[in-house]
Amino acid sequence: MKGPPLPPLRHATIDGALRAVKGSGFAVRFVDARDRESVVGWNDVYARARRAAGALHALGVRPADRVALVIPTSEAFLDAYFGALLAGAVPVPLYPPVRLGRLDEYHAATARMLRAAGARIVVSDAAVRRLLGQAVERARPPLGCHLADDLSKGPPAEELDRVASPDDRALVQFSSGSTVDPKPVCLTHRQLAAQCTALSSLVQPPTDRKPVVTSWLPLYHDMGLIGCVLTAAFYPSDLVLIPPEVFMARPAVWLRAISRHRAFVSPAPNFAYALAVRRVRDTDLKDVDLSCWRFALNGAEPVSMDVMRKFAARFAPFGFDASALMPVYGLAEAALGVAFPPAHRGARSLSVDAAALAISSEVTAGTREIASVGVPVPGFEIEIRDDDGAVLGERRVGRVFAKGPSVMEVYLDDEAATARTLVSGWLDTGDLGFVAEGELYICGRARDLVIIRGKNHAPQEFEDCLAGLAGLRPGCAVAVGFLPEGGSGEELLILVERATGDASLWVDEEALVDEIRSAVLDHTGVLPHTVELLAPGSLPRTSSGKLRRGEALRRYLGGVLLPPTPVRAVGLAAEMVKSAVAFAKVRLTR
Amino acid sequence: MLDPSTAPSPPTEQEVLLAIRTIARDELDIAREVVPDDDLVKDLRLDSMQRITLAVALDEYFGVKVTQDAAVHVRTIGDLVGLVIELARARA
Repeated sequence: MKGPPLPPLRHATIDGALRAVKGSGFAVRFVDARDRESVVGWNDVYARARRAAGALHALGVRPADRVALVIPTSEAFLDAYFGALLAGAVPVPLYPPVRLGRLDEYHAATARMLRAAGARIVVSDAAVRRLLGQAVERARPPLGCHLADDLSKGPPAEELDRVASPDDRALVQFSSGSTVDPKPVCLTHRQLAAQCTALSSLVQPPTDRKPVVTSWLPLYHDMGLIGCVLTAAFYPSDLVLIPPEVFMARPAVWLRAISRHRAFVSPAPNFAYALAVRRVRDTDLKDVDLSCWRFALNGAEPVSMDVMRKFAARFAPFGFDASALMPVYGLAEAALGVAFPPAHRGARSLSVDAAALAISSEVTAGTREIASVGVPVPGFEIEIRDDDGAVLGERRVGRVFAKGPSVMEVYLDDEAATARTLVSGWLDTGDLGFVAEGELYICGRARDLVIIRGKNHAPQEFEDCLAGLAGLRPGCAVAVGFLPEGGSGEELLILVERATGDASLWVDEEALVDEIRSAVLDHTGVLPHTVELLAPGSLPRTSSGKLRRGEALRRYLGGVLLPPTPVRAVGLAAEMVKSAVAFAKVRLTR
Repeated sequence: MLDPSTAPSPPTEQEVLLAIRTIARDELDIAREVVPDDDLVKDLRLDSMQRITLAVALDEYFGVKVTQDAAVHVRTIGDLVGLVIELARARA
């Protein structure tokens, strides 16, 4: 399946786009929890970035050095991000800690990502820096940890404005449950420029008013950074940014900002649409008019048609047009977007038999609705392949492979992982899908990954929390994402085996499930939707004894996740008879 | 809602607890009344999004920044009440 050709690149590099947007008169606004705003023109973003670049250079940052950014959504983020680029360096945005969350895991995960990215320096803000001590101490970036404010507002260093070449690296971003075994995705200017050009050709700005992009998405995430900040620079357009935590606590702030600024595009993961339906009240929406919102992209996690319909119905009285809904598909390894449906069509779906899909890979009619994510974005090709690499026809489930101008070249310093993921120019997305009537449907995942609220988690994050819990068989738990019947999106399912032996007979199962839920919530901030206690031996394993998460989920969904047939006395006798007969046959044939 | 600019004196324990009860009921969908001994994880089952909501709402009520580093030792509602008062005093 082939997308349309990629139009000529609007800019060859990201720094080129920044130099071009500076004279456009457009601006970036930051919104807080009370709808108060601060504004900085793109010309100022550029001027401040030159100062930050000079300051980074004075600190010892050189071209191609990786600069880790641990900064919440703020002007400081833009200073450090574009400053690193104008210094010829490679920004590596990482997530700041979650408020009122646990820090142990955060320190460990951040240290691992700093090391995997080979960060030379860490830039943060004052509040975050107080928390980064442990991570920085473990990862030891040679140039230490510095404040973004000191870069742009400190004593004036000489300004710097290096011109990048399209093949220079421009971003290292993490994905795929990076916290346990981080995979740094390396992207060049050319690749980012291709993605931004493709997006800006698919998501056309209005011609009758000023183009405005509004986003609450985190800036350490591809959809927030590439899809909103960089693409706004490419249009060029105004950009309205809301910190993610403000959105989580006050989802109405998002809708009010879209309405107030007449934004034509605002993307979000599925959970955001569900949260808005659940939490936004009519009284929060005085004078709100969402008719301006022509592109309500829904990506980064499985799309629920039920949520799409509820969102459309809930906000139709406020001018929202259901034809703006656009379930999309992409992944960090492709920079961002891989497949988009036609604009202004609304969400379209196919109803399939989920159990048949899980067990036989056949697409037959049923009750599970799967949203179409459309066709390959400009410059991209998509193939569905079976386990042997053969390309499958329509309505056959297989692994989704993608090829296109924004697919990464490598995982940084990880040849083995790169070789597994990139197969002669094709990206193995690790997702399962099929094609029907020329459109792509994503229906599962072959890679070990759980996506909760748009954030990717490695299953080990959840499984490791269960170590040491009495009543469980050690090392015999799998965490998988699933779409519960009637739910609003992907949820966490824990499948875990009870301990073997008589001791397990005395375990209070309800209390044990409760303990498992507490342990996972406490360590990860995610509450499991379902915990299933299984008989010992129920979880499928590879011949080398490794747990097979995808297979466990398939069997669970198909209702066939069962322990091996117990060898009872009668069974044992039968086995002995069979064995004796076999021996006898051997003797006879000799 | 209290406006920090018109409430210069630090709030009392009762005021903070009352605010948390309102947030828990209206924004965290917790049906019962929360008490100081409630553990955020074990008793209330607050996930990361609910914790963020609680922190942001407390910022708004009392004009204090319930930051991650300040909240390292917060386990219960009582701990959180104490932290908000401490932060409000430090700011006054």
